[in-house]
Amino acid sequence: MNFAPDWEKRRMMSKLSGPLALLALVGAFASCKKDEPAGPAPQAPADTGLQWVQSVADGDRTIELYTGTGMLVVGYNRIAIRIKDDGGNAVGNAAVAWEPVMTMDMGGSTHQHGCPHSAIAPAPDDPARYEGYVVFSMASSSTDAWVLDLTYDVGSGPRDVAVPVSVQASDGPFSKRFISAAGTDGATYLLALVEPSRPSFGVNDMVTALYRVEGPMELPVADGCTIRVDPRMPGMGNHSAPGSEDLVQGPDGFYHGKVGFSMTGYWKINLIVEDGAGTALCGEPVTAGHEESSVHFKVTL
Amino acid sequence: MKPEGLRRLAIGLPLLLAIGGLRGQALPDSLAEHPAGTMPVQALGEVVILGTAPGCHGHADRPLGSLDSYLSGSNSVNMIRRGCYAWEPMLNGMATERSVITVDGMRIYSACTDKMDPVTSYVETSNLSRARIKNGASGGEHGGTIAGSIDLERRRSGFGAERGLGGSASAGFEANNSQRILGAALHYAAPSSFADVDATFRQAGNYRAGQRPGMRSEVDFSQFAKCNVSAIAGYRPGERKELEASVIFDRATDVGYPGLPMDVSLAQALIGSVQYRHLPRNGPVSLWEAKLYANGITHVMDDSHRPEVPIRMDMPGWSTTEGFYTKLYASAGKHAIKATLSGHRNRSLAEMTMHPSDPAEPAMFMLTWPDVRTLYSGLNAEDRIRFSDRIDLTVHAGLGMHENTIGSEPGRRSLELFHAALPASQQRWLPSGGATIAVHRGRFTHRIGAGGSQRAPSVSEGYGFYLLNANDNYDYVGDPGLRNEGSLSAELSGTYRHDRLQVEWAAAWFHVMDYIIGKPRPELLPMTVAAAGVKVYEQIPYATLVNASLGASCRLGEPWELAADASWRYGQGSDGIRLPLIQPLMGRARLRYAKKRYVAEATAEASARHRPSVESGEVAKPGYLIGGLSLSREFTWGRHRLTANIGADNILDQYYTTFSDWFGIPSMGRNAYAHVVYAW
Repeated sequence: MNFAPDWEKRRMMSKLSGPLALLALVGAFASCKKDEPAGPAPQAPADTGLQWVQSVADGDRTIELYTGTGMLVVGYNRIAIRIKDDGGNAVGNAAVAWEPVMTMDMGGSTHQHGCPHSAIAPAPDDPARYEGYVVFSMASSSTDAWVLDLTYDVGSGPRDVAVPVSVQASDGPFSKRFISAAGTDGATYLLALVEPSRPSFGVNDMVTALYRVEGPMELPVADGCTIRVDPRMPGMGNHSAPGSEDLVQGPDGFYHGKVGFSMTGYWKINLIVEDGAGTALCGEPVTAGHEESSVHFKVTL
Repeated sequence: MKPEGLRRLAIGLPLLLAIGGLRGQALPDSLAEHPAGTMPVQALGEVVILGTAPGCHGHADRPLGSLDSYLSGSNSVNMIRRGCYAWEPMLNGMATERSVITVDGMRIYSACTDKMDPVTSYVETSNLSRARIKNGASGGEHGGTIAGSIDLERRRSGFGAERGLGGSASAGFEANNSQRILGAALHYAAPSSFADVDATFRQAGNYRAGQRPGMRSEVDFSQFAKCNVSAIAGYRPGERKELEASVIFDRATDVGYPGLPMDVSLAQALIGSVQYRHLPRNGPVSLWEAKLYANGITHVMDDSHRPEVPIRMDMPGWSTTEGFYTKLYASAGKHAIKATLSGHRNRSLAEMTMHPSDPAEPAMFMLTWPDVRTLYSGLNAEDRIRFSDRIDLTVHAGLGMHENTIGSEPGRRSLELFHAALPASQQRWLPSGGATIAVHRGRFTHRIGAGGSQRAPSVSEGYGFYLLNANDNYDYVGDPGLRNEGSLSAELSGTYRHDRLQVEWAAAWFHVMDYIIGKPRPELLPMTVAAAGVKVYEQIPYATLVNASLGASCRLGEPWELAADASWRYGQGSDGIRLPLIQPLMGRARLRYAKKRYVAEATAEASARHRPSVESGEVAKPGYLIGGLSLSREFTWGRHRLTANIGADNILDQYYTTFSDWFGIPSMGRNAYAHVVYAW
């Protein structure tokens, strides 16, 4: 007798559908990339899960960029860089610095601004892999171009390389990982979703980066705030899920807390940023008459 | 010792003991040719005879009535109606979490998170001969129970002295919902083998409630179609040895549930077993029976026929159970003993996929039962001690080991939204015990009994995830950390027999400790669109339930007979809150005329006003009085027999709603019916 034959199949399906969908998504984006030099992609560093984004030649050296998805998107990007010598060997323990710069063509005049980013340093497990993150605040376009100004010194004096990078939009009807919001104090705040990078059922650790815009290149971390979290499903009566915890700043400068998801599908994570005194800087509570906070991320499980 | 080891020991040890005990038996000759139904150990409780057994006729009950309608004839049972099909039996005022319902001792777990498929919905009266009801702790033979147990016994023609083939064909029509019933059965009996095969089809449209001026009486989404096929075969491999195999296939499609926001497109069960029986000729053991069984249920809820829903959803559920039991009947001196060792495992998985109105938006998926594995093994024994012709004492005791494991990691993580750091599995012991003493004095028999038992939380109470209860409009969430629910009960009953008069009375009191009930959590928001809130299963210190019934029957002198009964229940939690679904005072009366081949019957049923449990979303249901008439006649030509039965329920077409009509749906209005059974 074969009881409930669908059972195993369904379980398999439900297990597979997540990763499969993600692969499909990655594939779709990857196929959009155009201005990459032709040629075989280099071997990514082993056991890191990193995927190659692009390479830039600097004399007889080659600079390689990697991310977890093989692309750069608006919002938080963890980026790894390798510097290879003419023999193809990755060089370790170099002094590396970077500065992302956006140049916008405003129809004759140009405007430049930066975006939040960390320092870049050798990875603890591999001195020849330099890691850091960049929070790109807008997508590249025909008029707006991002350049990663890279300075490195492998012992023979500092060298500057301008690495033009292509940043893809991460916004969609069911996805949003970066927010620029006007604060009640007149400042502009930038929020980037760091985690969950792969949201799943139940309680997820949530990490968000929060910056205050003080000038085109001055984008410091906004300290001492609290970010209130309210996940909702707009596609089904805007219902919520329990398990969330408000985000508070950790030693790494990021804001840490929890977000709960009771099912797969499209979730809107509504946020309220409060300063140390508990005054709302941006975002509003979700009520029956106000279905979303103006400050929200969108994720799809 | 690790839990795994303990578990093996708990299963293995009693099995070894049981096998060892059997090997030691001497098997020479004696009588004790008892079929299981008439064992010397007298059942505590009652027996509901189902349908017209082939070859015996003489009552006016509609022969093709549903199991649900038969069970509701018992004073211990109320039926929760969510529509016209698959009523949920409540035993002693308690719903199915608190009782154990078995088919020939086989455990079957429903596959629907919303209780749309009680075990009783997967069998037909044509498969069954009787329902054996045990109250309270005495019903713990196949699992921990508070309310008691209902065992539905398979119908089998059994071995015959001579080779013989018989059969029947039946047809019925019920006018209210245009229900068509067709059935056929074949029976073969021989000295060393027997076989029974039967099939029943039912199809019904929407039913109509009683007439109210200016109101539409048709109840939308109350249709159903059901097909049930069963076979049972026995073989005697040797003298006093019997082998038996049984299978039931049941498939209901297009079942409407007016009391719920969803219907069912498929409810299907396959229930199979093999059994061995040994009837020793001599020695204390009169019967040893062992059974292996398995069953699988697929249940698919669907709302595609509902014109307007906030969101379309599919809610399939699966349940598979494999189990065994072995039991023996023995007698020695004053003692008549029945001992049962049973074990089963179950997997319950249910999921929900919601389709947003925007087709571009991804579907939403969640697990409403996270692949819950249940493992149970238990040992149960009952001893009836006859001190004299006037006094006998029945004692029973049992111990079960129950374990739940969450099989699905996403499901476990989902439940962690409500309960932090969930253990992967949960193990518990379920003891039970009790005694009843019966004193026969002249025309009176008095019985007084007491018992105690524990049960584990049901799959929904432990692991349910946002299960909508349409009656109180709350989403329910389980708690895997619930403790056992325990009960202390006392029962007082008696019978008076004198000449043409028989009077029976019974009262039972249940003190249910750590009573499991959903309590609202105002801080939580419901998942279901338009639900009032979320309730999480909690335990209140105790709840008190009282059941009382009084029945009398009197033969007024051939051919008249008058019978009446009344029953009443009470249920209150220690927090002062009235328990849901508690029956008000109800009475039934029946006047019967039986002469030669005619039986005519007039019945009446009345209920007092229902006192609602406001906390459970109930509203008061007014009292009602309904009446019915039926007439049956038997025709015979040689060995051919035709029984015709016509009648009408709710003959005055009263509009009424009972306390157990889910979501306040009205009961059926006037229903005229005609059933014909031809047998040879």
